[in-house]
Amino acid sequence: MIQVKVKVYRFNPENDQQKPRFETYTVEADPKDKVLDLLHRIKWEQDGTLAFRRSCAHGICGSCAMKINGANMLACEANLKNFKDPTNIIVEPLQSLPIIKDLVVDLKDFFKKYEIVKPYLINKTPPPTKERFQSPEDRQLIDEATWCIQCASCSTSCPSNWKNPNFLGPAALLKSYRYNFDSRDEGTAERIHVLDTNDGVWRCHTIFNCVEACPKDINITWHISQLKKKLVSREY
Amino acid sequence: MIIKHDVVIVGAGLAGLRAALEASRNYDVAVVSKLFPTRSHSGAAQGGIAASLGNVEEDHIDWHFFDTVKGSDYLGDQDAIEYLVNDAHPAIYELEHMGCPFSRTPEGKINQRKFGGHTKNYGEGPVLRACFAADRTGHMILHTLYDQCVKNNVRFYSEFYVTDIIVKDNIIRGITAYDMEGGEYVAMHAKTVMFGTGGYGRAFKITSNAHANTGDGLGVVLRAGLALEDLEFVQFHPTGVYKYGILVSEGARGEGAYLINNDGERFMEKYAPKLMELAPRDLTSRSIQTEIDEGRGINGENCVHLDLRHLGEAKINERLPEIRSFCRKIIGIDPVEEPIPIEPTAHYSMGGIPVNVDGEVLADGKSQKVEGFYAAGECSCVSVHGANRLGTNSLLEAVVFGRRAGKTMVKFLNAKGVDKADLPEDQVKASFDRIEGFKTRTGEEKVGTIRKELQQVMMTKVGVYREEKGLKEALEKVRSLEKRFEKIKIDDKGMKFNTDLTEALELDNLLQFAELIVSGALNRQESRGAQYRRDFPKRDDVNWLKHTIAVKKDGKIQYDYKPVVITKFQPQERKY
Amino acid sequence: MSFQYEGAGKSGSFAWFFQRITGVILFIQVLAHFYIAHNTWDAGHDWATIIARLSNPYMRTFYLVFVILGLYHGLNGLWSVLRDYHMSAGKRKLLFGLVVTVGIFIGTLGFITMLTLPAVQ
Repeated sequence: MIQVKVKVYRFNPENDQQKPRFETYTVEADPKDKVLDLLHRIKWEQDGTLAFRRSCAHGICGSCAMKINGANMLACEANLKNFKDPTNIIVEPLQSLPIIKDLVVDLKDFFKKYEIVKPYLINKTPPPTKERFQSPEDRQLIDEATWCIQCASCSTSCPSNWKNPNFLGPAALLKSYRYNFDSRDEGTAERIHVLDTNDGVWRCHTIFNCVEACPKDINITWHISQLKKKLVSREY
Repeated sequence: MIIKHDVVIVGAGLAGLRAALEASRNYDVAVVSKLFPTRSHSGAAQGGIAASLGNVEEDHIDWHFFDTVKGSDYLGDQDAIEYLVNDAHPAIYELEHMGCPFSRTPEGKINQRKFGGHTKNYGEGPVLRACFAADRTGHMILHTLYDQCVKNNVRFYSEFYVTDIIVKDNIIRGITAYDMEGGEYVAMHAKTVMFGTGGYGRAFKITSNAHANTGDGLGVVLRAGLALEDLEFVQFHPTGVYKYGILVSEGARGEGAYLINNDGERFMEKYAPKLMELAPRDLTSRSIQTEIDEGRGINGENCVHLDLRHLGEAKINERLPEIRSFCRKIIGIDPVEEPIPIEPTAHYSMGGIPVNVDGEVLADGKSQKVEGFYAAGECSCVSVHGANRLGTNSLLEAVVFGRRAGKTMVKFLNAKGVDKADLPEDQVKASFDRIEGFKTRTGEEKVGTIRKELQQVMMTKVGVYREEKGLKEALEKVRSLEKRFEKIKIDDKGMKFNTDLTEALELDNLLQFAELIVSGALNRQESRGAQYRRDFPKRDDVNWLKHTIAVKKDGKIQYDYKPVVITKFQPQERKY
Repeated sequence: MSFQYEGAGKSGSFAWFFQRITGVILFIQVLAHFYIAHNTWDAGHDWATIIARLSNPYMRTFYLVFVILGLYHGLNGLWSVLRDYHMSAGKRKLLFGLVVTVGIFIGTLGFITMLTLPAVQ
């Protein structure tokens, strides 16, 4: 067992006296524990007022994305032994989004952007009685893009997004790729105008922060560059 | 604040979203969930969704029918199972047409894999029946359905914690909820309400379920004085990661993984010589627990090994990438190089809110309907799973019966119109007062401590093996915890995102129906499917081939029973 | 600071594509320029040598293209960085005007210089 000092960002919107601040808690931990375990121990044993999101605790629901020691990751996957100094952990909410309380950020914009890229299959041809065929190669083309769990780690790590909240951001663009490159989809013409604007794909400067931040190891920047190429090849 | 909609669906998992999609074609639909829709635990389902499509090898609806009946240990209602296996085909083709990215066969059809308890020719050997998308099937279906709901302009109320249903004169009027982000209590006035609130794995210490899976829907229904069915049947999944409980899909064994004990033997040949590792879950879990109890756990610990190494890195990467990923990240084991230590983990609730095959909730569990109230998915009990669910049948149930409930709601609204019955203000106020009351309790008990003790006792005494003495102790413990719960202290008195409060509300629900699980298990004096009594090790078709229906009246549990619907397959001895 | 979809504006695909093309051409031109300046027959760094080189019409065209593409590529890059910042439509137009003005000004200067070179004796 080790003693871990956890510095947690605290903000209570209902208490005007308290500005955003850091609070430090000391927690007993096993070196194999995850940061989520520490947060739970704080909440259940020391301070019930701490608010954070979590659900599945094994990296598939995407609830517990937060900034831990300066990098975006899922708290449930943040293994103490992977930190240089596992006895000092700093936990902050995702950057650039409005904060509702403590580690809970406002994801309304994030999902609005998701909705605007038309994230659904568009195919006006009546379907066959059985499945539409798709070759394993065509399926492979969209495979990585379907891994996304909408945790918002990427979009909140993107410098283009920090300065311009209107930029659709990596998550929405990745979703757009997922349907635009699906061999069964016929909706590119409907979807493309959202991407082909100043706040669309062209705001991606291949900074690769999103790739670093993605807990599912998706190469998001590559997918965005494929969208750019698709736009150009449609017009020239 | 009062929000009005034609249809209010609680829970945004597979069942909820599928129903929302169906109803949103004609009516104004709202989906209320305590999480964002894509965070629902349906997304954690890995292995597949069953349908006898026969894309890879010969398969028949009737074989699927038989397997499900036999898997349920003959407690499944066969009229409902018939709907399940027949609707499987259109339900899955519809998902595919919506864009669900299933894995493909070389010729481009939906690929299928083997799964526990699914056999060819009525029990001859494993069959390729589970349609899958690598080991992310639930994730893919959940996201596809959410996307379709976005397309259909379904209104989502995310992070609203539902606290009560408002029922008067057997007619549903609406629900009350706590809007976490907005920081207020809200009432929703609706013509129809549907529950797809999921299971309650978090009543147990080792569980594959998310922290959110606290069975809130069951607590709500129980508080409203309605009945619950077959709660004693809790499925323990054989392969949960040791100490964590995280699910390692049966798909791993479907692809050929072995179960190995400390002596290095594939012990399943002793218990299920024909199906080996692909025996149904109740049997496999018991086999693993027996190995552990008899001292053949790995290094004497409470686990055995799930060995994937002989599958090779390429196959693991193609078929089981997510499992490899979380094993490396969370437990620090690479299944390509090392076997995974596993133990049985609380996984699924076969019982729940009694409904008929159209998803209509039955107030007394038998025939008395609650007008406008529906349920589907894990929180409901149709019952297609009987005493034990087969792997991949849960996603199927959620999709098939979510779809059916959606259609029923549309039919109901077509017939009755959208004019709502009054929302009784006194009931709404009582519900709000109850929530607020939690904040003002003055005691020193901590929610976390009580929950931990509950999970501990449920795991050790109401687990894979049960007996009278342990169950009686557990019942006493649960009741004493209920008493202690009255003296809890909530640190957070605020309104905004008060998760301290919601955790207390969740624990209240857990305690309410945990008592029903324990007393149900005590009451049923036989072993059937997931319920195994050491003191009654035989199935007793003479006295117990019937569903349990429990109601809580004035704090006392009352039992009633309902016969099993048997149409085609008469009960036989169950051997694999 | 909340998200607002501003609708389909002018496509950015030409700018992006052309930026890549000019990037490739400029890269070749820079290499060529280095070679010309340091290793050709008239290698030298005095005024007379350069004037003599530029009096060759091919050379003059080469450098005129160099100036135009260099200006476009650089200023388009600057504009793209400026567009990363969320700003009002008025401010955006003003900044765009400024960038274009700078481009025209420097471009004109380059043209005048290049076209009014004194002849070599």
